[in-house]
Amino acid sequence: MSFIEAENLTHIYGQGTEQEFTALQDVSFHIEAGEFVAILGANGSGKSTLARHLNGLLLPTGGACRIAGLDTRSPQDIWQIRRQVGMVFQNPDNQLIAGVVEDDVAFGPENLGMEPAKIRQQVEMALQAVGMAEFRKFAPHLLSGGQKQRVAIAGALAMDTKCLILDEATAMLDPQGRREVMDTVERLHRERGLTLLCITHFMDEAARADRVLVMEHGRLVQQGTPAEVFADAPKLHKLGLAVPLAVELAWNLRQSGVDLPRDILSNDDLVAALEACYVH
Amino acid sequence: MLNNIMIGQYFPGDSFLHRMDARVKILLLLILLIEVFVFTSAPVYGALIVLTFLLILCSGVPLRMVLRSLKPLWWIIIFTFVLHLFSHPGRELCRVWQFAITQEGVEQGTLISVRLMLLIILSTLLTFTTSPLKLTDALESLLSPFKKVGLPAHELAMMMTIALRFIPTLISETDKIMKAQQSRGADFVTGSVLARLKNMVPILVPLFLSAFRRADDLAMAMEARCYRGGAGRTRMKEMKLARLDYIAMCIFALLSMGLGVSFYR
Amino acid sequence: MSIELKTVKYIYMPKTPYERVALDDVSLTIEEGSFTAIAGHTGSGKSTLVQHLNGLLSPVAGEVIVDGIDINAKDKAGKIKAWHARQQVGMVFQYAETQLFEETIAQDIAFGPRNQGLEDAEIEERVRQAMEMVGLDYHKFKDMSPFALSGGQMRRVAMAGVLAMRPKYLVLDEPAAGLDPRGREELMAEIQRLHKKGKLTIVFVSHSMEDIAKMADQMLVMQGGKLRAAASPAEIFAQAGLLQETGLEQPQIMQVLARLKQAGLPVDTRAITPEAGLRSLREVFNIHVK
Repeated sequence: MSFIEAENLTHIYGQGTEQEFTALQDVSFHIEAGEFVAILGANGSGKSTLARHLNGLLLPTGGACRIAGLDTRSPQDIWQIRRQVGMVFQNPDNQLIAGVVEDDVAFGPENLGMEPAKIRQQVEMALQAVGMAEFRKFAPHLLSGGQKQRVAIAGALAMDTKCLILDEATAMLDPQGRREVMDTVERLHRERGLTLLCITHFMDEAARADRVLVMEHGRLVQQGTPAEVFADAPKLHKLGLAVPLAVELAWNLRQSGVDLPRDILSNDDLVAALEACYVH
Repeated sequence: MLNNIMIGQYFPGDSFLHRMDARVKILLLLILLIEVFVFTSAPVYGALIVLTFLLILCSGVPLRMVLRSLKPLWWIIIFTFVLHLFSHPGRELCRVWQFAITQEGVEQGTLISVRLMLLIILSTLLTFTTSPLKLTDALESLLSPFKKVGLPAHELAMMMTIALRFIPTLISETDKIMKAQQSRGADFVTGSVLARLKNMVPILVPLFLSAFRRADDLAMAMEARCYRGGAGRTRMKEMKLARLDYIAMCIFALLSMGLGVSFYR
Repeated sequence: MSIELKTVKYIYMPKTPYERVALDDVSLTIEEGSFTAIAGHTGSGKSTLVQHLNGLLSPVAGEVIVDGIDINAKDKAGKIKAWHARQQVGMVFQYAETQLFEETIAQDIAFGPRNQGLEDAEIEERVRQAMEMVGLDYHKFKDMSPFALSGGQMRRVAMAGVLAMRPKYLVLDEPAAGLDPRGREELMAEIQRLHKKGKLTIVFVSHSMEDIAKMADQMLVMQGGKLRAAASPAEIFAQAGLLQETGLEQPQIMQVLARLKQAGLPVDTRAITPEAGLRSLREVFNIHVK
């Protein structure tokens, strides 16, 4: 059993009405516990709809979605699912609920009915884990975008989440905020074995994942390692996506006959490969 | 231009008034206000005025700031005072045109004005020494016995929490939208009242739309964090009465008895 | 003709505990016809700076001169001239789509021209042209609700609303923020077209050093409310110390080329765009490979 199992997942908005719109069509994939997976796709490709199925915020109109073996359609399991799958949304301003950072992080555990002393402990642990402990008494509007997103991550951690879904959580941040958030979640992934699902259109974020899923018009059109997916740069361009600079340069140089390996993803890879190539 | 609005009027500090349980503060304030209405005699009011000043002094809130809270209500106080001056028959002090000012009028007018001022100052002192968040929690706790008769105490408190959280966000949003429309030549300053109201449409429509969008996002985020109403919910910050609160309640009880005795003697 | 700032100073929330100097002694010139990028960390004063360019904020000291006219003039004769001068500077805010409010796209775009007091025929002509400039088909879109569009299209409508006022200078605060790669690329290409074909002077705030390298001919670097540098992107990206102090980075291609140079490859480290970088790499390898 995989941690996340989507079988022929289909979602049709406004079924039977004039505005009927198929947002997801027969999407099937598995994600193992502890994996880091990136989901790519242009705006409107169904990425966010997909994400919202993974903790039961939306229910499939066809097919099924199981988290740790629990079906998201079963009402008695839904809280267990949401507790295990935490979600960070795009707009940093619209997901913090309380007027003080620590109260906000406590929101999830409070909903789960934890003991006050245990909540206090969870909040402290979560704030430490995202490096926001010194801001515990701050009001959210005094924080930067990156800091707000880290508080949102802490809110999920405090519920002992097993899996974190970032639904374009870096899209509205400046480069520094983006780095803060990605460094935080990647560290949590490494140190705690947190399953990580990044929905993004920043390719350098996707390049660091174990696996990449590519969406187009509500369908899953490609999946594989970043090297496999990025190997075909023109195809990604056609899907409205960019590829990382190193991949783009390597692809162009290979086209001009330079003998470069196909698994170049980062600037490090590219520099090393070009250096080796030049010496020959 | 919207930068200058402060939220609530909490004045952070560490006085015993700040440290007291907010529920106790609210209850004591209510009783005190009732006393102000019931014990209408000069000596009791004298004592209450002294008490109020002592409390202000202890709170560490500058007297100037407390008095400023009276500012919007000066007119009502003066109006009530003047009304009372002329409307009580009794020993005539002097005449203005054909209306007589009586000694009873002066006494009643003073009493009523002092009552109004005490009312305002004491309530203000509560909001000066209690953060809006604590106030919200206290209200939820105090109202929760009424849940049985259908009062949505938790929902009301949650609404207040969210409102407090989003006030700064919406203020900066309003500022931004106003600037964007000003850049498109909108004029919010000149013209008739009607024209100015009409000119608000380009601000209000985007503001409402954005508020709806935010509400939608927030509801989603709350659901994702297992929110399902007040039932089964615990709180990290338990409200517990401490020794300070018991001491305050005892002193207050003794004081009230003293006032009562001196009034009915 | 130009926009000129002379020792501009701005204080945020003066005489409160939150008082902060947001702009400190900033002097700069934006020549007509130029393509200027403003870079700097969040909180460096970029947004405060651009809001001075059309008089949304008035400096507490110093002057903002547009085409020779002080746009904050206080005397009666100066005020009217100042109003006209401000109209020369169009401002597109970050996430500009949030300012839309009318029932139809055409009406929304007409808001600015109508405020300028133009005739109906003239307004319609301007709406038509503005939509064309941002790549929206007039007949297809004019009667649609702006809220039925995608985020990227809504942003174009907002841009058209500013363009319809026929500004000479167009100021954009992070125009591509939040868009996906294709949306970004298309919008940036559109802005470039406005510059080349529309003869608009462009001033844009950006966090993307790639976009700045690709498009700008002048780059202003802000830090802590002060203007730290004003030069061509190539000159600024060559100053490693300045970039580090102001929290900026070289475009990625420069970082790659610099490391290759260090490793002994004879690449041209002056290349600031991927295209130029690739050209240099091809030269290096066409000699040594094959």
